[in-house]
Amino acid sequence: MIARWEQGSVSPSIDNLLAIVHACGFELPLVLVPRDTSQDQSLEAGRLLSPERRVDRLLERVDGGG
Amino acid sequence: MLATLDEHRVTYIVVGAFARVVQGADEITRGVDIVPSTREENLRRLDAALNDLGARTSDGRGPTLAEAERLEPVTAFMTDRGELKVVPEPEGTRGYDDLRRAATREPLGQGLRPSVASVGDLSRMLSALGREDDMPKLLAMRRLAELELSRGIEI
Repeated sequence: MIARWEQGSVSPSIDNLLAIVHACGFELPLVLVPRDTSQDQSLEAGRLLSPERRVDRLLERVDGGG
Repeated sequence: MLATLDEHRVTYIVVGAFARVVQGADEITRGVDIVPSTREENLRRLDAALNDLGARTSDGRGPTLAEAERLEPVTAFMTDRGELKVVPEPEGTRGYDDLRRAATREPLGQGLRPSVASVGDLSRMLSALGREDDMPKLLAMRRLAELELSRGIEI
């Protein structure tokens, strides 16, 4: 079961997740906070570029001192 | 830099900020971090590639990774083409064999197609480091995964 969680083929239920976190000596406070979408625009723009263009964009910024 | 690694047939996976940029993150970095296969023959090829790149550590040592009894968690080299960090086992992972399962070859131009760590593994590494400064990068990786997932659903 744990191997399947690690591989991402299944996700643990909230109850199981909390049980694991507690067994490891931690708390996982489930607190609602406003969703941060401030990066969405730049991420969406980057996602639409090819990997090659993403690296070009990085190099342009580095060369330009940005 | 990566072209030289390929010329020497070094087996590695790109991780860190450069990998996140390749995956779509909006970050700035001047170096490349790699996770090499730690097989002795591969480390010899990596040493040769680093020598070609004029690599030196901050204390002036040349590359001797294949001769090391135990690899350092991070070995940073300054090369003629920028900084290259060799990270045999990034936090939260079990190294090359662990990362290669989800890594993909990404075309970066000029025939270069390095193996780049997956968005999931890049998130895992940031999360394991547990640094407050990395939180925006981690959120960006998670959001990228969500955007990819939503695109899959749209298709």
